[in-house]
Order: sequence, then C-alpha cells, then structure tokens
Amino acid sequence: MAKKQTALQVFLLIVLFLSIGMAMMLGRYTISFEKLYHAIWVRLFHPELAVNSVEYSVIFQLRLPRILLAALSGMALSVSGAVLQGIFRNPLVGPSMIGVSSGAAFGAVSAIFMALSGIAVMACSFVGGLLSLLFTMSIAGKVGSKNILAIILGGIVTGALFSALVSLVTFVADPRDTLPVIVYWLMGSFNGADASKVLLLGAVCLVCFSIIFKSRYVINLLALGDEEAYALGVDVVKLRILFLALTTLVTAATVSVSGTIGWVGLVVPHIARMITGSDYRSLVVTSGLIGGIYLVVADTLVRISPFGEVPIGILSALVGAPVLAYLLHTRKVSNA
Amino acid sequence: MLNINKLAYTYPENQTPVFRDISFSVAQGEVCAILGKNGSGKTTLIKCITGIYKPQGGKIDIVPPVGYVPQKVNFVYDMTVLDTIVMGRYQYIGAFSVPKKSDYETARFCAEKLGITELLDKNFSKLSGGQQQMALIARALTVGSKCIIFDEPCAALDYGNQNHILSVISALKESNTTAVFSTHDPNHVIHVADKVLILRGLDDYLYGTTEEMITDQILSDLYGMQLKKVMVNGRITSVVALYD
Repeated sequence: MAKKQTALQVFLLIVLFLSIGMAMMLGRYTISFEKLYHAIWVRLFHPELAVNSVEYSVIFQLRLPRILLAALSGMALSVSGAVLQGIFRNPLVGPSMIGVSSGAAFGAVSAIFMALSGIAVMACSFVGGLLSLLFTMSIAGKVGSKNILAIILGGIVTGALFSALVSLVTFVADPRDTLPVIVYWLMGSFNGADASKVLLLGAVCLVCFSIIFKSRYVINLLALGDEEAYALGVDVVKLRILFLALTTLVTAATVSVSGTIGWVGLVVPHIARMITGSDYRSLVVTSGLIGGIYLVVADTLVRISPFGEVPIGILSALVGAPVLAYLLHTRKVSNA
Repeated sequence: MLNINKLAYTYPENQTPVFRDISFSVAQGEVCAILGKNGSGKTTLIKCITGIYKPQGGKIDIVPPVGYVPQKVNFVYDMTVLDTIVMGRYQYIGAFSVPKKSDYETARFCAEKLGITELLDKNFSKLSGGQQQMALIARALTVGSKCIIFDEPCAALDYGNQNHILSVISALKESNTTAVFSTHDPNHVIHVADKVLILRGLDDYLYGTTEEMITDQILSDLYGMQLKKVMVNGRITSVVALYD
C-alpha cells in the first residue's frame, strides 16, 4: 500500500515537472523544446552567454518566477485546505472558511490603498491574515475550543467582516489610480511575479510544509474528533493551534503574493482524497502536488487565453465550483 | 488498579453537578461495571476516568496509559481497520512521526488475539456494529495498558455480539488487566463484573461486589419497576424485567 502511494507521488511529481516545462514553453512567445533545453543548459553551465538571448529573458525573468509562484501557491492553498479539513473534521472547509483569506486580502488592499508596494503589501497581508485568525478565535471563545462549529462560525463572521472592510476600501479608493490595481489584485493573478515573491513564498512554504509533513499523521487522529483524539493521548489544543498557525501563515503568504485565489484549497484536497484515500500521511503530499499542477496548468491557460489574460481567481472559480458540485452530486465528498 | 476519591464533576455550561462525591476502588485484574439509568452520569464518569473531562474536585489514581473503548466512533474520513487499530499506538509514535513496522506488528497481534485478522484491510465504516466494537477493543489493547475503560460496549448490539464483547472483557482478567465498563443492563453485569458501581442520583451511589449489588430490591429501586433475578443451581443466570 505504501509503495503504491509512493509510486503515485513520484508520478505526480513528474507530472508537476512536465507541466512546469510545458508552461515555460507556452505563451504569447512560444519557445521550442530545443530552445528551452538550450536556455536551461546555458543557465546552469554558462550564464555569461545568456545576456542577449530573448528566450533566456522570457524563460528566466518572465515565465519561471510566475510558474514557480503558481506552483507554490497551488501547493500552499491545497495543503492548507487539506489540513483544515482534517483538524475541523469537515470536508467543506477551506482556507477562506476560517477568515484568513479575507483578512490577508484586507491587509494587502489597505497597503495598496496607502500606495505602499512590494514587501509592505506582503507584510500588511500577513498581519491581516493573523489578525483575522485571532478574531476568529476570540469569537469562537478560546483557542482549541471543543466546539469546532464555533470556530467555523467564527471564521464565517470574520470573513464577512473583513470582506466588508475590503469593499469599503474599494469603495473609497481612487478610481483613476488605486482602484484598478485593487480590483485586479483581488481577482488573483501571478502577473506581478518576481524572484522576491518566489523567495518569500518559497521560504514560508519550506518551513511550514516541513512541520506539516513531520506531523501529518496526527491529523488522522485529530480528524476523529477532540474526545477520541484526547483519549488516545493527543494534545488536541496545542496541535490545533500549531496547524492553524501554519495554515494561516502559508495562506497569508500566498494571498500577499498572488491575491485571492479561491476554490483551490477546497476542491484539490477532495480530488486528492478520491485518488489516494483519507490517510493524511499520503493525502498531504498528494494534495500539495495536485494543487501545484492545478495552478500551473490554470495559469498557463490564462496566459495563452485568446480573450486576453483572465485573472486566475476567475478561472479557478469557474473550474472549481462545477468540480465540487460534481463531487457532491456523486457523493464522493462524503464517502471519500 | 483504579482509585477514585471524592470525585466531583459539573459540565462547564451547566450549573447542576453530575456528581459531587464519588469514591471507589478497583483492584488490578478486576472487572468493574458502572450501572445506572440513562442520564445517570455513567458516560461522564467514564470520560473523567479516561481524562477526557477534567473533574473539578477529587482525585483519580490510575497508571497511564489508559486504554479507552468509546461507545462508537464517527469517522468523517474512512480508514482501514488496521490503520484504525494502529492509532492506539499514538503515545509511542508521537506527534512528529508516523507508525513504524513494530507498531503495525503490535496492531496485527492484538487483532489476532481478538480473531479479527480477516477484517484488517477492510474500511472501518463498512464493518457491522459488533465488528467495529471489536476493532476499537483491539485499538485499546495496542495501548499496552493495564486498565481498559469501555463506554457502553454492548449498546446497540445483538445478543450474539453482546455475548462476544462481554467474553472479551471477561478474558482481560487472564492478563491481569483491569476493566471498567458502563451499562444500563444488569444482564451485562452478572456474567462479567466482580464489582458494581450503581449510580442512583446525585451523590447517591452504591458500590460492592456483584452478589451484594445485584438484588431484586436494589435493581427495582434503580429502574422504578420490578426486576427479578433468575437463579439456576444457586447462580444468577439473568435478570428479567416484569413489565406492567
């Protein structure tokens, strides 16, 4: 069984690399496999030859940061969604359900409104995400409350509040200046990807994924319910705080670099669960890989779209909502 | 061994205490039944003993780890029986690791002891109520505890499965394991339990050997209707309720 899961994960990893390779070739400026291969060879072994190469610039300055950002965001949102669905014992929970996405969006929108840019937007988004988590928890009563429903309801209230604040900022934003930036950012896009964003999200993902990967087995026990888990010796409160903090961190980091991209964190873990089963030892990894593939492919479709560049948040919702509806219709969500 | 001294518990959201002063003691290798009507506090007491609930007063002396068999589990995400059983090893696995080969060997050994090896690869939710209960007992055995607590282990089971579960509880004596189980049916008590704690109301309880506690008078008072022991060859074989 374990060998089967490992084989599946290796297969998904290969698919992820292939989709990244394809994404590097596709776009308004199509690059052949030979040219891609040559550019990578130059980059690795003779970087001094690459200064005036168009392909080199397109691949490494425009496409690669964007593709890596899409892959990391897909992984981050999917892993967060899978973890949250486990610790809240609810297959319909995603990062947006605990209010973190809205809080992070409010932080970033406020920064854009104040004409801040770059790292300041990311920092504000982080702070917004963390604030929303604290707000959710204070509504729920106390962190690690035995009443999971209270946390989810707290998240819905927080999400609604921060969404209203986002609307307020949008309403008062200058329509000639900051409003278009805010609106475009809210729809979610990897358009503004650069190396610093990749490094930020990559660093946050590396730290958080390492801890989640090490502790992924205990999510199986948390998914049994608080009393069951406690009786088996699990420190429910501490571990729930740990997982909430980690998922908040990766979600806020993702929102800060790419805007709000919905549905990924909700739908991808379901697809992963259908393929790999409910054991979090494999589910966490599989969700991350499928999430990475999902957003790399979606972002490539967005880039080559004949209708111009549609924000990826829109495409993600257009694909995610029917997929979830199909899963619910076939009852695979509850039976997985 | 289990020692409970002046135990008091009130639900945080409720001002009415469930119990304020319960004391009893179960020797190593004994089987103790907690008998009472629905709502008498049996499950609350079980959850205090297992540490799920924190009592506001009193003391519970028990050597950890404690094996716990809940009345039922509600899996949101299904697992195989083997993976369900191996969860009992969590205290040895820890939060930052995964079960090792030795944990799976222990789980298989416990399943074999209970005769459920053929169920190991099945999904837990696909099992019958009796099979699920057996899997949960196997999970409690993997804890390696000298004390196992059962919450209504025979609830919603047919006679055959009730008999099977009770014989498993009885067999724990052979390995000198203490067992505590709750029930509302005196028939479950008479064949298995050495001691009986009868919960009659707030601070109103009786504790003693099965022979002392299972009398027509005590049982009839407890349930508010007439109950009679059926004796065959000087041994209690069952308790019957005489309906109006």
